Amino acid sequence: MTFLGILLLPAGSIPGEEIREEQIKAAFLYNFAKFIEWPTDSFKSESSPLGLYILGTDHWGPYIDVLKEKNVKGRKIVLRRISRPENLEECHILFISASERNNLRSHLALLKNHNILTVSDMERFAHQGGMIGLINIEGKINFEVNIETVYSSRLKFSAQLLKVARIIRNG
Amino acid sequence: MSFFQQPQSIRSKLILLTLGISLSALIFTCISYIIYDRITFKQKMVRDLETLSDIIGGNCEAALAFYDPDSAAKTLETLRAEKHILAAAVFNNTNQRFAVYRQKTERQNPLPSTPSKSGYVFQDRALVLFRPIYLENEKLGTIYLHSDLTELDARLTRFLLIVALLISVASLGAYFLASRLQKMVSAPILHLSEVAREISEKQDFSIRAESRGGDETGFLIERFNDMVGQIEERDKALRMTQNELELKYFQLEVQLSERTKAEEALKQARDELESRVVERTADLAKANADLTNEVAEREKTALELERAKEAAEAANQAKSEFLANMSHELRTPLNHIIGFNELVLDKNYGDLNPTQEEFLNDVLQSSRHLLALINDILDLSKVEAGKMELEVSPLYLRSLLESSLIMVKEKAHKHQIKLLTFLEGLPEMIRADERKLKQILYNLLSNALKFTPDGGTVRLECKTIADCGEKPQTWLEEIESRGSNDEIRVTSDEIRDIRNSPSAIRISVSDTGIGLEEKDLERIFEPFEQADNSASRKFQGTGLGLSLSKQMVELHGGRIWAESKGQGQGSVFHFILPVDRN
Repeated sequence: MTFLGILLLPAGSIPGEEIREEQIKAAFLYNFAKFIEWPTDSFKSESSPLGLYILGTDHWGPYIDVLKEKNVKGRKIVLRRISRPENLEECHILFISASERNNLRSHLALLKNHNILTVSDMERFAHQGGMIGLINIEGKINFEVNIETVYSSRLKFSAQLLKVARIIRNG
Repeated sequence: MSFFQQPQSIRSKLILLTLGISLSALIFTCISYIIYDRITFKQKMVRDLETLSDIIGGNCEAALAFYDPDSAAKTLETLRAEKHILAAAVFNNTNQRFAVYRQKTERQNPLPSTPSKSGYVFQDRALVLFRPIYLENEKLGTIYLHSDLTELDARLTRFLLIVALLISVASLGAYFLASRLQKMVSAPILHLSEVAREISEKQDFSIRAESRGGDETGFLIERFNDMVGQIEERDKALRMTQNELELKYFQLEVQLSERTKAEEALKQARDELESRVVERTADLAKANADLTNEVAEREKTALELERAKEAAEAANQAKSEFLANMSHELRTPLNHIIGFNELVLDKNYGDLNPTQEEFLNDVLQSSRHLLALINDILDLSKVEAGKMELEVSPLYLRSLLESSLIMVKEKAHKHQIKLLTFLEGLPEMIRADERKLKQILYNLLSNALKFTPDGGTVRLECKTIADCGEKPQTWLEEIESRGSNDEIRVTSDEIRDIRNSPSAIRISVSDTGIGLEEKDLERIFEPFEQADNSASRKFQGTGLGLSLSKQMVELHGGRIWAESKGQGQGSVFHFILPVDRN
């Protein structure tokens, strides 16, 4: 909890201690899980874990690993790193690293019917059909949501989340 | 307000009572309700504010989760619809202010820089609430709401207005109802009061009050009517009595005037009487003074007499003493005379011729008589000088009597006089002076023999005349009756002496001698007295024996007297001796 508290700190809140951008992004991933509902058939059982897969080169450092100890809606978070978009039956959140920028179109096409929340911090990710794109505006982390992609899936984004997000439509 | 003054009529009392009770109940109810409502409304306010904070806080979850204060501020802006929320704030989980809201008009209310503990506080003019914002059991931050209490105050004002209205309406209604309903109670009482006043004013006790019901008031009216009825009857009776009394009063007045006149007359009479009493009193005082003087003189005389008597007694005693001494001095030479005379008469010193013998016999006889005379004088003088004393001792009465007879036996025999004795039922022992008793008996017996002619009879009788313990009355009556016959006077003192004795004996010596005349019955007990002076020559004797006997009997506390039926009829000498048997 204390770590999460620190994790959730806005940048510059504690003087003299730099909050890493990765920390904030990890907190965002964790919070997305809280504001989004997956269809029930995407879990094997009530207590099945929530799968958080990282596709491509991992440059999170140690900051993503803290999520392994967390629970979301009574489910444990299982963190996996994969190099190809395969065996995604138990994946619920797929973070696509910037290294996969060139394969993005094929990845998204593959994931289309999988009810997996796609998140990336690459530029214009939401614009290209990703669900949530993390962006940095003047040092402040924010996120974009491609509402059309979201609607085409069976995931349910809470209204609050959408209110906070920047909404992107396919253009 | 006339409400709080003592109301005069029962009507206004009843109305006031009804109004007082109903308004008190109403006011109490209203106040209770207002207090209750205020408490519940405050709770409702808190609940509402909590709900509002939950809604706003919930809407700020994402903003907090994704560090979006602008979104939170927008959410807080929705509070503008809630006029009573003056200020609001959202704090993040590091207790830093994340977003704030202020109603534009409100500037005075400073926002807290850090959140307090979760909960609500009613401040002076505000309700302040802190409530944590949770997302899936993780505290994201705190929401702060500041609500004013205008609604609470407005509600109170509204309530007060309603209550005032209610009370006004209720007062009017209650007054209206009470004015109607009080008649049920007050009308009979007012009627009763009116009737009572009428009766009192007109003094007409025939008026009656109407009774209209079976309740207590109806009962009261019935009782009142009964009482008025009783008063009416008493009034009638009273009037009758008054008339009678007036008549009597008039009569009394007449009587009084008469009596006054009588009293005046009486007073006059009394005044006269008083003046007469005064005169008499003066006379009496004078007589009294005279009497006092006389008494004083008499007393003086009595004193002189007493002195004279004392002097006489002293002289008498001196005489007795002289006689006693003289007798003693006389006896000694006389004894010589008798002694020598007897020696001569015994013819031991030579024969005597008849003439000598006759003369010497005369001398002896005269000498013996002289000796007896002297002895008697001696005894008598002893008695008179108060020197004779009783030597009381126990003695056998019978033997004493018998020995007395022996002393005179020879003389009786010589004159052929019969000696008879009646000595029945005598006490065996008595206490008395033996010598003196013997002397008395001897005197009486020798007297009897002396005055009895030859061939006569002398009788000695002795009996217990009364046992005082058994029948003193008879004995006393015997004496008293005799006293009344003037045969003998027995004084009350003498009777008392006898009566005080336990018992007494009576000794009587009777003879058939010359007897005594009635006038001599007492005189013979005086010294040197005989019934007939001439007798002394014939019968010899000193003339002192009876006198001595009397003295000695009286010394014993007894009594001696003589009885005779006249000359030649014989005489009886009695004496009574109180004897002490013990």
